[in-house]
Amino acid sequence: MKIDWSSLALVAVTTVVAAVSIVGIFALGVAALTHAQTTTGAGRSAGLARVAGFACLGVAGLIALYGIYLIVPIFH
Amino acid sequence: MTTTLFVVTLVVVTALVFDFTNGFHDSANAMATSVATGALRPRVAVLLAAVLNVIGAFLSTEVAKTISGGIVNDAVVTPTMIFAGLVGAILWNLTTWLFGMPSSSSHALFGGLIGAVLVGAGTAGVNFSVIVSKIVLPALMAPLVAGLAAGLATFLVYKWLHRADQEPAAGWFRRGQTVSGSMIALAHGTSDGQKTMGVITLVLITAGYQESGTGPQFWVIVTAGLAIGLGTYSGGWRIMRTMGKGIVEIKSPQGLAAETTSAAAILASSHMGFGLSTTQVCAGSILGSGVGRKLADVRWGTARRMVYGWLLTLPAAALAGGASAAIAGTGTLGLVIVFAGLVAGSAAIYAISRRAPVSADNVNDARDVVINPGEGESTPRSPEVIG
Repeated sequence: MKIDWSSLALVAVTTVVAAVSIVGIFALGVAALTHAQTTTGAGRSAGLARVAGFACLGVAGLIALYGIYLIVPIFH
Repeated sequence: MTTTLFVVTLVVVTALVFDFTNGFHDSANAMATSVATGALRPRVAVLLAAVLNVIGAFLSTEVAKTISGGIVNDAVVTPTMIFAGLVGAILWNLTTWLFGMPSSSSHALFGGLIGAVLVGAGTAGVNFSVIVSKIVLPALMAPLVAGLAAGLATFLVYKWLHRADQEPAAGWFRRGQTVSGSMIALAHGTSDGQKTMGVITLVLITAGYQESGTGPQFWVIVTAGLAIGLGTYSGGWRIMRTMGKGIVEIKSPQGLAAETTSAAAILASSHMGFGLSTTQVCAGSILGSGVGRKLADVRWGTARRMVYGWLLTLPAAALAGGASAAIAGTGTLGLVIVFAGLVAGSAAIYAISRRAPVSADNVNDARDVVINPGEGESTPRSPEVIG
């Protein structure tokens, strides 16, 4: 019986790393946006947090686009 | 009508029915967590999943070279065996649906085929070592890998964001869930929609209605895409309830973590050559997201029953597929009897499901799927039902 342990390990590691980083980036973005939303007044820190927050969500969105690229066979 | 044409017609119809059950069985994989957290309203969720399934089916029409990926010896497989295998898979899919158990449609199809080939061609037709390396081992690994990843991701979210499941953070996670759930639905359409097209095309080639080595015909792509889309739209609410409410009480950060993990695992496994079952990945992610959040209520009893269901899928579908093959192998009358049995069995299961129906309106009202009303924990009824 031939079991492809190396590709199994590769799938496992990729899944863990990808899930943790995407969810982590998204959570950072949400943390920044919540901070911006709950901070009273439109101070500099709130504005900065909002920009950082949307930047994080944007990165997560780009990774999602890469996922669509992987799903659709005609792209590669 | 010649016998060949009759058999081919039966196989095509049965394959489309299987495709439909595949759709409603796996609707929950993409959307259960979004429905449970309120990220999407139930009917919007299944409509989105259905549309993405159809798009996915149209995007990927590269026919699989083999029906089973080497689990059975394709050279000995006849259209009658494929028919019997599909019947076994459909009956098992409907049975697990009745009990609200998420189980792998691919494993049901493989099981049905294995049973049919064992009866029709003997043990030489089945590659038992491939069953271990392509079904048993991945079935053990999928929930472990997905559970670990979703658990870690959930743990991190709650570590960084103590109020992750309160507004306004929860709202952001719900919006993110719309994207992550959609990714699973699209990936599902490209893989499972294409599976039925492959079965139909291979049968057409075997019967001499299509040139060997050609792709699926347009009507095959359209009907297979629509069958899986309709199945997805019909929702499979019984399984949706178990996945969304029965295993873990899910909050939107957990939902996002679970769905992202599932999408990542499905993409990684389909691009790195170690196929994992979508159903087992998604269930593992949900379980992991429950373990990763402190104080989350993980219902291990339901999880245990789900694992029993996975273990039973292959032998049970094989039994049904084998019995079907034994009867169908006797000739045209046998084929008709098996098809009549399939219709009668499906109708009976549907009739039983009506005793305690689960629909888009009550999917989130309880955590258990029961056969008889009044079983399980008391279900909070909506006022209009009591009145």
